[in-house]
Amino acid sequence: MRYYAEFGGEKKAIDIEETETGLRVLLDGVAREVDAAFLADRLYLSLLVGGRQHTVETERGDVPGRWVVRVQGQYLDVDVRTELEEIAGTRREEEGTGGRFVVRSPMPGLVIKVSAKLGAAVAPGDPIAVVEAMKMQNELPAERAGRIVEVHVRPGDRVDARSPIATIEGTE
Amino acid sequence: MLFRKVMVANRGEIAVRILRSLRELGIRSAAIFSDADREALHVAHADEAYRVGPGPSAESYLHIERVVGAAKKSGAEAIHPGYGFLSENPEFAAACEAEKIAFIGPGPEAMRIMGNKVAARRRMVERGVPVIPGAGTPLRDAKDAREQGRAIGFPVLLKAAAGGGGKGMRIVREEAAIESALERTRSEAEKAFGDGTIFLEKYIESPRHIEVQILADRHGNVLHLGERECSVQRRFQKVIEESPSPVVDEKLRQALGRKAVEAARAVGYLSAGTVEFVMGKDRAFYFLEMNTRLQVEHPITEAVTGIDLVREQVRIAAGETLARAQESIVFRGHAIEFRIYAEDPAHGFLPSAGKIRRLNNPSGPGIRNDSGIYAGYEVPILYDPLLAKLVVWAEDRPHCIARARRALGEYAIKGIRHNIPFHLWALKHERFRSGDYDTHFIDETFHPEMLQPKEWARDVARIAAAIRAHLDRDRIVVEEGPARGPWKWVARREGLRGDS
Repeated sequence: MRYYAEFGGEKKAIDIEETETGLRVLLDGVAREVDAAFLADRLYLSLLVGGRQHTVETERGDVPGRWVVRVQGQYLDVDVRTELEEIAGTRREEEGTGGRFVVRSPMPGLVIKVSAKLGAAVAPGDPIAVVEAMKMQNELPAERAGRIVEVHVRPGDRVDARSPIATIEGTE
Repeated sequence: MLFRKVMVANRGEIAVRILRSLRELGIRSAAIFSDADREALHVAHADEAYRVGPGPSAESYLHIERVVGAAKKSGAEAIHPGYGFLSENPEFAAACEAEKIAFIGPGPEAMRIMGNKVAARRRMVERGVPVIPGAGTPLRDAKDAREQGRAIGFPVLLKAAAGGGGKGMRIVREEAAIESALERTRSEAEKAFGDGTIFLEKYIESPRHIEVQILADRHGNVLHLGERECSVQRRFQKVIEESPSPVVDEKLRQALGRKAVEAARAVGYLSAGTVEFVMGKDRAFYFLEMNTRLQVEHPITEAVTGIDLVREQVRIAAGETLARAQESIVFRGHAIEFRIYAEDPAHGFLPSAGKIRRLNNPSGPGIRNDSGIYAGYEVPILYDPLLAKLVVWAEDRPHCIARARRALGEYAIKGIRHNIPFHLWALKHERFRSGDYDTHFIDETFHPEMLQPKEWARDVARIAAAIRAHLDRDRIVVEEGPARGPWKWVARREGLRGDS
């Protein structure tokens, strides 16, 4: 079974085959000696790659197909697609289509200010809203130029991670 | 006679930590909680708990009437305020006194003086505690600035009276530049803060933040418990602290200690407190301020002295005498504290609230973990992002660093992002390892890209994610129908594992 795992803009093909003795894993066509076992109710994955042991945490990310992997103390967001998804091009567009871009809250918090005005033109970096979490205020900027076509929140609203804040329609 | 019941007017790791000492003292404990904290760890650790209001701290933990009301209801004879919230609020200390509830901390008067920077500075000057030269009176004009600068010696710092947080400041390295610098600073300050009042003070190159723990009882005894080095800071927030400081020798320790004791005596201080100093490259040190409470980083002092500071605070509040003399305090080994924050260092230290899905606390020799979280706990968005503090002790600094890397590697907090990757990075940095760092350390050396994983780690992550996706896909199939394919393989392997 072939998968495509993308991290930091770099995609690699991973073939996973089951054999009588374990797993056969090919990374971009190159065979890797891999042994995997779940620990603690599937919360950790003990991976032996070429004999080297890695205790890896894997959990579902905030969008379908995304996995948050903790390896060597660092968190990595890896997008995994099956071959079928890759061929069908059913790339999960996170931010909608048709030149629309949704500004999302990067974390759960409380909306304390909304600068985005319906119909107003914005440039990249223009403030859209301020979300407060854990006594820190974070200004969310417009990531693209365009016009505000929807404002999803009001001051005082509680938002979750990835909640939509405003929708921008591109001007290009 | 110590108290029968004490209320802890705080939350999180510090409330848990105080409750522990109360239990060891055989004192009954009462906790308070807001609506957002009913399931918090400190509530579970206390003998009694009282609701003080809705989630926002202004309506609960900061609400003097409600907190004092809860204490009265509980019948507590004393209140421990922890740090933050009401801990340095003289009105709160006075409100406790008015209700005949002992406040475990200094009196309101000492708190008021130390809470006012101008008054505190004046008091320190009177008592011979060194303060940063300059800063006494606002500058009149360029001539005044030149004269003051010459008297203190360059470089100097021009500081807007209304500024703060690094804004409205300018370093001037030579006399010739002071006139234009003053003009610019003044016009910027007028524009930004509507106030063009400017002060001049000595600029401290490569400043280190060094603070001294003191203990004072009602009987005139004041002790110092050595220093803590707190120069690893981000946005004026401490991140890593250690004791002893890598640059303080025994002679300097005694000098710092004497001045800290003098500062405490100058305001008739009672209980545990911290005198903060800034130290330059030349090891000259100057009084910054005094924190009139228990501090976040107090455990490193406990680790190197063996003294339980909360226990001492309770005994002092009950009128007991300090059990030791200065000469009998022995400093042993080295301790480092790592603040575990719910912040993602790879993404600009963005806060990260949510459910702790899995928690593996480090343990083993020399490890103390003061924590306010548990597996399944939902970290609220309303409060400070401090989750826990890892305190590592070893007989010397190099061993302490090695032990810290081991312990941080064992620490697993799943479900939210945290700053442990940052700590691991700092422990590898040459400047930290050599002890040659100052308060600019993070700003000058850390960039989020440094936490980008190496190629092999990326590959491991890709493989792990693909395997997990592969097996999970089949897991759904298993739940829906008969087992087949890879699931069989997993079952077989797990079966084999069980046999071995």
